Amino acid sequence: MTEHSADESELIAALRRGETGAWAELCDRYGGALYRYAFHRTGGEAAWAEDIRQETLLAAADAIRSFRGDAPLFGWLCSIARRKAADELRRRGRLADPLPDDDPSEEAWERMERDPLPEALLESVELRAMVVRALWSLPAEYRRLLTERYADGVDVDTLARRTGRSYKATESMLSRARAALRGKLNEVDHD
Amino acid sequence: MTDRSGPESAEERNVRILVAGACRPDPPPLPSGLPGRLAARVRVRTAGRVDLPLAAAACSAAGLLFLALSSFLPAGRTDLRAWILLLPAVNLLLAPLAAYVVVRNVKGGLTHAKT
Repeated sequence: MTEHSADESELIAALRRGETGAWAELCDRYGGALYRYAFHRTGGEAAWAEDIRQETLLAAADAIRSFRGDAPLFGWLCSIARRKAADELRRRGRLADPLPDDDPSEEAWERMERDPLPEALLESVELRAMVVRALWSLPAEYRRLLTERYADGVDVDTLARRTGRSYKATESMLSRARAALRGKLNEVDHD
Repeated sequence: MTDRSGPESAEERNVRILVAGACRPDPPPLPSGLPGRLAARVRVRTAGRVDLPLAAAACSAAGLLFLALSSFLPAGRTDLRAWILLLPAVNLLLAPLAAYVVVRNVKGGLTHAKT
């Protein structure tokens, strides 16, 4: 059973009560990431990704009362989206899944710490979907730090100033965030 | 990435490519009315359910009533006639529960039809 943060547990309870504010919060917090997950899952088809995102949210509303909390909320949404994408792929007569032969393994996630992995692997759309899921299942502080540093290219000095930490403390937190991402990727890979 | 952290390590390079890829593309906004529709959908599903605590309380009360009434029966009279006399009392107690479930289902169905 996953331990949800107090914040996420409160959100789940409010979602179950059918509070509009909670559903707005869910859309705000995970709507963008869910679109990206669907986008990469569908091999980059924007219109289809948008359909999957909305269908996923509707299915989540139907099933929220039976959500047992044994996965992070975003992981649960991704599971629904993945099923919807796979069903549609099957319907379209395309292979429904998954990663190609260079499917990253536990060993690859360990190697990630010391060796440069092939760009073809790092940039495969399937892997990107896994990274979206792993990244948005991390604690918000780790996610913010990783995206600011590696997607937006913000330097460590600036991050340290923004977070009110020392340079060393920020570097060490980044290191913990990278390790947490590796751990989540490994979890998602085995899911 | 030219700050005092020095040259990029293999791990940082891997993470940079992964995270940058995962943060694309920019998502289109969701329809503004969607959260309201989602919340209404949850409420409809909830409305259609039997309220289990209420049902349990009603059944317990019925059982207690049955016991209480049984204790008033003279010894040796726990025959078919006594059971028949008790049934209307139990039914009376369960009737509001049944009505409650029916009303909630009908209300739920109407709301669902609207959405």
